Amino acid sequence: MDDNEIIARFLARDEDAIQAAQRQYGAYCAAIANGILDDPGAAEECVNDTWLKCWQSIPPQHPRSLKGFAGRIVRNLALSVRRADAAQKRGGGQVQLALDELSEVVSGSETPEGALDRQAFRAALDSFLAGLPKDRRDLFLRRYWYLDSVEQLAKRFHMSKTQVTTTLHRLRGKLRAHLEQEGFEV
Amino acid sequence: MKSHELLDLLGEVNEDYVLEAGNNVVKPRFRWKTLAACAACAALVLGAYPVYRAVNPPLHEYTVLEGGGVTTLDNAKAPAGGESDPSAIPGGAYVGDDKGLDIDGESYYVPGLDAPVQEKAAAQYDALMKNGGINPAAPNPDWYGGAWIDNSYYPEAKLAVAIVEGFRTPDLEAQIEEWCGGEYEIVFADVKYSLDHLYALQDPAVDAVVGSDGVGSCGIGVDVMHNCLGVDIYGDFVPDEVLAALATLDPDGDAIRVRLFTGKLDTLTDDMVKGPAPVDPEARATPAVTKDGEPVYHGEDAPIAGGATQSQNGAQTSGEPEEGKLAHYDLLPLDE
Repeated sequence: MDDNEIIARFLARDEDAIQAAQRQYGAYCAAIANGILDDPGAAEECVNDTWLKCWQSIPPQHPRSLKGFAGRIVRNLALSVRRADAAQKRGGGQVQLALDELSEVVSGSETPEGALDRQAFRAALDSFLAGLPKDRRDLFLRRYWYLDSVEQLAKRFHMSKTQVTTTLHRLRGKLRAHLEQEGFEV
Repeated sequence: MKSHELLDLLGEVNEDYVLEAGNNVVKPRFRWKTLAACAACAALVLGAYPVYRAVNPPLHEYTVLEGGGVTTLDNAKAPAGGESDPSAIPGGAYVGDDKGLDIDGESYYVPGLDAPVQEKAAAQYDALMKNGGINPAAPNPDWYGGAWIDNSYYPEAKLAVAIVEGFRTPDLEAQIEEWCGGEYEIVFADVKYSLDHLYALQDPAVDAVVGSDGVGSCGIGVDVMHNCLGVDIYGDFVPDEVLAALATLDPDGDAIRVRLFTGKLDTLTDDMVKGPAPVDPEARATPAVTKDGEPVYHGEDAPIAGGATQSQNGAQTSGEPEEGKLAHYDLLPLDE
């Protein structure tokens, strides 16, 4: 069953859509959740919640790609769980490391409610990613979207850990410069 | 902005990029630079090696023996090269009741046992030459490494026949025994090189050694018993060009045995002798001086006793000693 068919079933409120989505993208979503949580049990819960969120969101939304849509949901859910864990001092894993790294890009001050044009900011991020060579863009997203560890990135991209760390450092610097150039006071 | 806000916002980027990164499979990069560097290094090494070898050719090993050509009983320090007479039976006559000084100057004595009887072995040797079609000066079978009379057997010496590795079979042994008459036991030895191979090395070795300016005299000949070509050089050193030429002839380093016999040539006996080099009669010794730098007189140069001397106070004195006073000698004691 392809993406469009599953989405059509969601839109038609056919409960088989959840089973089909689970079969098609369960492993993908579980990998994302596991990467963030490093806890198979919690990751499975996140994946199950993902299908529920999909059921609640489609309709009214009509995603272009169910894989991308589900992936974003499971990432956000896993990050929420991770934040709750961090608040309870249960460690931060890759999320905390990624946050530490991203603190180089941002000032760390509170953003006043409504002061940030999220739509414009997302567009700035997209234009930043669009300007990167594909391998650099993939590396950046594997680190800050999928939250892969440096070791995993080194293995995936056939680089040394030092090369990965250095490349990510440069990319963060470029991102900060790009955001400032776009007029954002990060 | 807080970093977690940025992390959240990053979650909302274009999902095409996200899916691309999710499907990302990176093939190992073909490292051209590394490969090129390795290839360059390999080419350098491969190219440099022949040049290095041309400049520094491999040298044949050699043994230095002090004392020149003194022949000891067991031939341990004597030149073995120079088996000049091809018809002579290697092994030679037994020598006993021998005494004298060896090359280290120490006396030796070998009791005079009766010489082992060699007639039978000599007859076997002749039979082998005749029946086996073997002639020391002619092409020989590939298996033939040489033959000699082995005097280590007492009271009767035995004929030893060397067979090149890989050729030795019971049939060949039986054939050799048959050629030799089949009556008496023959000792067989395994060797690496055929006699013809060693003979073939002889002329090039002579060319290599004799053609060198650095070699005074030498002896070259096949040592059948040691299955090698003996190259004995008399002098203070073996020139590298000679060792390089011999190394080319003998890549394995065991077909040619090079020995350097150091010592001085006694011009009366043509023997090599140990000991310090003779003093050059033209060289004059530096006159001895005292600690004060005054020359030491002796012999005819010494002033005659009672000659003109300088007194203690510096006044000139006459040649005759003053009455009641002893003559003053200015001979100074020799230093140690």
